[in-house]
Amino acid sequence: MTTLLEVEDLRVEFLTDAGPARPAVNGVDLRLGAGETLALLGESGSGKSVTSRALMGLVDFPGVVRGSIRFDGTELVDAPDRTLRRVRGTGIGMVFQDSLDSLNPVYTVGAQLTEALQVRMGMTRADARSRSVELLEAVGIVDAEQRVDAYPHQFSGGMRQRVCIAMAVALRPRLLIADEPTTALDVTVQAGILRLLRGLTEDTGMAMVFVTHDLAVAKQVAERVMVMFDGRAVEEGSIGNVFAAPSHPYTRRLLSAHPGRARHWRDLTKGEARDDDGEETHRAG
Amino acid sequence: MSSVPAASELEVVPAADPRPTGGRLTVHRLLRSPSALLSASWLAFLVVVAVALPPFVETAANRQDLSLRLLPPFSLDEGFAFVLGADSLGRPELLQLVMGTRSSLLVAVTAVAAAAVVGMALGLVSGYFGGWVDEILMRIADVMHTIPSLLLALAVLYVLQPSVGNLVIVLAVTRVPVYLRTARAEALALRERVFVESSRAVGARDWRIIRTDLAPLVVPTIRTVAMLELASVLLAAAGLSFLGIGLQRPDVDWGMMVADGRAYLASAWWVTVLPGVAIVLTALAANLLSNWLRAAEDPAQAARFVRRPRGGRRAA
Amino acid sequence: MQADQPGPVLEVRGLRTVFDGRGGRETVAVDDASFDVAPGQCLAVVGESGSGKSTLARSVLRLVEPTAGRVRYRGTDLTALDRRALRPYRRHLQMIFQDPYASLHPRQSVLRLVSEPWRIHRDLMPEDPCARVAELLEQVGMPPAVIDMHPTQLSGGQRQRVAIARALGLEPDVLVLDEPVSALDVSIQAQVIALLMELQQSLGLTYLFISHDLALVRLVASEVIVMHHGVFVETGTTERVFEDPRDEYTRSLLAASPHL
Ligand SMILES: Nc1ncnc2c1ncn2[C@@H]1O[C@H](COP(=O)(O)OP(=O)(O)OP(=O)(O)O)[C@@H](O)[C@H]1O
Ligand SMILES: Nc1ncnc2c1ncn2[C@@H]1O[C@H](COP(=O)(O)OP(=O)(O)OP(=O)(O)O)[C@@H](O)[C@H]1O
Ligand SMILES: [Mg+2]
Ligand SMILES: [Mg+2]
Repeated sequence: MTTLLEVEDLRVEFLTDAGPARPAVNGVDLRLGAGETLALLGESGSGKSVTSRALMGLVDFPGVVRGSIRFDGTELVDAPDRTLRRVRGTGIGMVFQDSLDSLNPVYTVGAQLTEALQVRMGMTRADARSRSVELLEAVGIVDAEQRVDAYPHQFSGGMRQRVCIAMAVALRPRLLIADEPTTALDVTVQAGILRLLRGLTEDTGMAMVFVTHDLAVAKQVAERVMVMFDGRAVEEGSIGNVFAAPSHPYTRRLLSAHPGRARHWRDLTKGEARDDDGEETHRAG
Repeated sequence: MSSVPAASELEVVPAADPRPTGGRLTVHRLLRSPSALLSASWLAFLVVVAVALPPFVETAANRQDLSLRLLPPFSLDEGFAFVLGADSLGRPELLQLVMGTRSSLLVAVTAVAAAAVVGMALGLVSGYFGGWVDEILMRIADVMHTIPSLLLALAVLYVLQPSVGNLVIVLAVTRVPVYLRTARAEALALRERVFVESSRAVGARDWRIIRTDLAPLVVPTIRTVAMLELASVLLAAAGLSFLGIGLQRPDVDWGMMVADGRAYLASAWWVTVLPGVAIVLTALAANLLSNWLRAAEDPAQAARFVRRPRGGRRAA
Repeated sequence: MQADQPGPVLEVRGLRTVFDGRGGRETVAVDDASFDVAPGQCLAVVGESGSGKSTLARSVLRLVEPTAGRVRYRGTDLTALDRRALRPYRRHLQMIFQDPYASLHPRQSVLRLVSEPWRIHRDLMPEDPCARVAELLEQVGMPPAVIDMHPTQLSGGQRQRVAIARALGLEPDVLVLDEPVSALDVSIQAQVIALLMELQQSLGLTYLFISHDLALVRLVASEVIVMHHGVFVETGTTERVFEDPRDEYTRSLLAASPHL
């Protein structure tokens, strides 16, 4: 299998007036072939979103990116805007974490979708529109024909999130970065979305980096998992192995805090109390 | 309440790294951009001149001495006041420029500020409430955009007395739509945001939401637009004065100085060129600074909504 | 809190909310919803994305105007009040939103965010707002040091705690929680849930808990309503609904729950 994405020693830090802050991403290596899916796990603030944004070349001043990100042979770190614009959308697509708030509220969903299709895929207006309807149907929006002319605030939270997914896959990217794309979805709809994404990886060879904190979801979409902690990858391997024998305390805590495994809400926070010491020493270092 | 389950979150987690705050970061970046720094310095210099000097030089500036008529510049024979020469009535060019700085800045800044405040208020109301209020305000804005503002100003000032007050009002009124559109576009987007609904849920009225939730988020954009507008209003004011319907003597501004000197352009270039240079430099500085502000503070938004009328550039 | 008063805190009858669409097409987001919430209870509403859960919550609080039906809060018909008369009641019914990244004003400090509601309900304004804010922050497990911070400097879990503190400042009776933890990392999710449950016990709050996470609902709610396409397809005690689902849709929902 050819390597599509190759990340070496990625580092991101944010400058402040008092000099550089603690690095948000601190030496991450990553390799992904076409059709492969990597689940990126990690606690809040561990650098998952910053890593994702760095892959898209979307870390702006005061953020500074170092290391190397090669997408299909093209180096993206410090690449000129022209290169990045070419890669974004059709090369690498992204579903942002704050997708509930990331659609433009002033335009209809259809207008935002068709515009992207017309500009980037060179479709005619009519084609773009019917393709938009298809895409909305694909992400499970009922009545897509009508809904395409609605504004984002007329959609429910989960529907907005699905629209963002539709927008990202509309351009048939070769790599999709999905940053917690299903947090607002119930299990049935989520299952549909995960099926859709899996289908895309299998049929079109799309590669995917799937950021999530839900292990059950990670298990459904990915074969490999990488666990981040404090800007570093602390654990990596096949999903089965990592879940069967988690080596890092955070991974263990993730497993125990899953509501599917608890019998009472008090159980949810139990694993954490046990692992606190381990975590503290890690942070201090 | 003692058994709150907060153990690991009690210390402020590293996610809370304070990001550099707007003001300090802006100054930090300003120091790195030579053109912006130069522009800001020039504008600051003009403000100091306009505020500090006029009381001391007013009498000297308006003293006419026909023996010094069209005195050429760059000689200290008649004292420092005449280093930039004298105009057609023998008034010292340098001091006239100082007085002109005050009037030009006063008119432009007041007009811009008034237009920005009124335009922003109307725009927020228009965008937040929508409906017929929006409908009416937008139609008025459209109509105003189709009439060239210089023509409108000409007509109004012809009917009214040309005076500083009227000049400011006319300039402000013609520029209100720019801010109205900008603020409206932002309000349209902001009113759907969740924190607005959150305010509604605690019982806030519409006016309160406009004031405390929307306005603070729109101000940075308006500020950037206002800086850009400073350049065009400065030019418009100069244009009106040039046409003789702006300020009247003994007040003087740069546009009027250009007008006074044009009869002598062939023989005494400095009477026209010096105030002209002041106008161009200041407009340029305001423009550069505005562009920089837009890039520095607000990467995506700002000037996207400032639509210039089809007639192209306005006055002067 | 008037927890000793008999009868339900909330009585909803025949609530219906219809949105107008293009060309006269309507979306019936909530249709004929009736339920009671007893004091101190946690009633969960589950259902798939777009089934009308948020609209139900917003209609109960009149953040959207219901098309028909009644909402009674301790005997007062909220739907019959005009906007001015409704305002004093708002403090009793507070809402926590799904996305803590979007529900706090980005330019306000924590102090401002928590104290802002008191400027609206002036009779609740404490002698020393700063001290009261610190107290509320402590109640939700946050150090007083965050009082001058802005939401951008806080993590998702911390933001949700600030939102909870803001609501608690109004000494509410009912909290409507619209997916309060679904945007949060599971370990933080656990902390926020634990906090909410502790608060419910110590303050005697009544919860309307909206969620799509069945595993979570099973842990926190005493009764469950299952919504599908705007209608209630099943209601009952949590145990009963999970052990013995009667409706086809509920069964499919339960079956689709992923297991670790
Ligand atoms: N624009 C920024 N400026 C300064 N610091 C930032 C910025 N964006 C992120 N950070 C910091 O980088 C670190 C990693 O953040 P990131 O958003 O990647 O976390 P995450 O793993 O995605 O967490 P979550 O699960 O909460 O989304 C955090 O400490 C955060 O405060
Ligand atoms: N302001 C509105 N205008 C028009 N239609 C709306 C509006 N708000 C919601 N709807 C529609 O009402 C239906 C129910 O939406 P609601 O937000 O209540 O769903 P939900 O159950 O909360 O879903 P989710 O779990 O995805 O948040 C959806 O079809 C939605 O498109
Ligand atoms: Mg993230
Ligand atoms: Mg919802």
